[in-house]
Amino acid sequence: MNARVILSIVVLALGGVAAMLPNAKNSSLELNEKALHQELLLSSHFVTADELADLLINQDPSLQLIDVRTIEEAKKDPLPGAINIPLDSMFSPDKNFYLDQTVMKNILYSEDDQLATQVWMIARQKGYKNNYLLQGGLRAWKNNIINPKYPEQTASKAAFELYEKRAAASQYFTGAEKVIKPKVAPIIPIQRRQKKKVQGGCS
Amino acid sequence: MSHHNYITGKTKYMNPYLAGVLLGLVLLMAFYLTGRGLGASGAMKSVVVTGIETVAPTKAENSDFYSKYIQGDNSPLNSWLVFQVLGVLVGGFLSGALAGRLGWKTEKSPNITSKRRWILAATGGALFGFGSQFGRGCTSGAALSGMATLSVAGFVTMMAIFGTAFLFAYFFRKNWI
Amino acid sequence: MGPIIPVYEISTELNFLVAFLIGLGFGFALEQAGFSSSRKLAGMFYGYDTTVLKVFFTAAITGMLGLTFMNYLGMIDMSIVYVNEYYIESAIIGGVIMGIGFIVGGFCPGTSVCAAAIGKKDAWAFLGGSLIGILLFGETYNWWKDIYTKNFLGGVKLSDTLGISDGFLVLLIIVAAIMMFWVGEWAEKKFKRPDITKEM
Repeated sequence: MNARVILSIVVLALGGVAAMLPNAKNSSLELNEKALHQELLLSSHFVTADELADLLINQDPSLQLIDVRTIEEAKKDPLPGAINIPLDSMFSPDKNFYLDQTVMKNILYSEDDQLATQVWMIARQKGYKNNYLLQGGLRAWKNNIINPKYPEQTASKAAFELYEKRAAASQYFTGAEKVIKPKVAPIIPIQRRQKKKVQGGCS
Repeated sequence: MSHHNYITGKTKYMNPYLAGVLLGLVLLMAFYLTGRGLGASGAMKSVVVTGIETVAPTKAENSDFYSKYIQGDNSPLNSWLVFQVLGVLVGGFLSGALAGRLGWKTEKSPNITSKRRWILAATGGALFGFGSQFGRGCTSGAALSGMATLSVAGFVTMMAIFGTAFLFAYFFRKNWI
Repeated sequence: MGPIIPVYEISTELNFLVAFLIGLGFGFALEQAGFSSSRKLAGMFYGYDTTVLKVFFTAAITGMLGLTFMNYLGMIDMSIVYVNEYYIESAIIGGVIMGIGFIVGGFCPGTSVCAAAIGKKDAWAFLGGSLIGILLFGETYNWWKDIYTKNFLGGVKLSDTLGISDGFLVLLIIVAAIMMFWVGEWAEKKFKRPDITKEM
């Protein structure tokens, strides 16, 4: 067999396979829906109110709370150290770096789960990492940490311990507010690689 | 692959299909590493722009065309394509040396003089250079790389180049055969 | 994931080294194929040597098959890869002028560099000429500016225009190329010029 015949057979076979492939995905950088759904189900992206309280009390330097509600809402009851970036400006070029970075552990929250989940999903689809959600939102925070319910007399020992802890945290966040140092560490915008089209050809 | 060139029976050149696969792999490597295909005329443009910038800097900056390729203090010669074409020069030389094809000579039809061949080559070069700017790339940058990415521009340029060359081939046959 | 250099922001020096190495392969492949010979290139248009057709299409098919599979396997981010921009008028006009340049000069810019490297004087003349041609375009740019920038549509893919999948278009091109190869082999026998090919 000569080279032409061999080449013809090989490329025809490969071309046949290529023709059966689904049309090109344009970018595999972004998560597809299925993977996103999976991640949501695993709920590894959630931070509970108790975990958040621990992080805040220990003044974890890598923590960054992000309030995604509107400016008016956020003014009423901010969490300590939180910055407010409303959803509509979240992905604008001057705010984008808050989410698109690799040093801070961002915890997004809104009144409940909904709004923050929306932001988190967009961020995740864009391939951003290190973003988490406050489980149950601000409501869960208020119910569990700020106003913890005294457990029933019949509750387990663990429930009482949890209550003790929460009550202490509540004290910390409501009474001794001056203890909480305002966040001073500025976020250094991490320049994510610009997804820029290559300039090519001969021009 | 018993005979590489069955007209002469020599095995001087690589089998064209094999050479094509090799060239295709280089092209693919270029895409994988840099996101762009191969090119040639862009490097020549860099040379021209550098020349203009050196001789008449104000003119270069005021021109809509040259100013596109001038970026601050960075010389236009400091470009990807210039280095790639330097590579072509060395790669071509290595291949020619390995195959024993080095030699200072003019290749032409016996019907024409060397001088005529040079004039024709220079004229053809000028046309190609001009056309490559118009078409945003030459056979490598626009046609070959363009076709590999399945771009319409690539197919159109390829058909325009080869189609026209076929159409005009008759009028220039004395220079070649 | 590719393309490596823009994605991982490799330094300029390394980028240029890669450019040089790719050029090395490019030049080597062109010269091995015989593209350093103008009469071999011109043979395409008289039928006595269709190497250009074979090499060009084999390379293009290898490239497009490779890109299609790499894209499918997620090895390359095609949204970054440069797709030649669609300016239909200037592509046709430029292509026609280049076509005349090809048959008059016997080289294209890439092959002329390659031929110049092995000492072809006519290739050096072609290279000099191409610099003049680019200069001419630059000097007269304002005359062509309108048509040069007309009908811009971005990087349009033929498969999108035809409304078929990339892979299917590749298959169609492969079938067309195989038929052309067959015609090419036939032409080489019919129009053979041993006197020319012996010299090349």
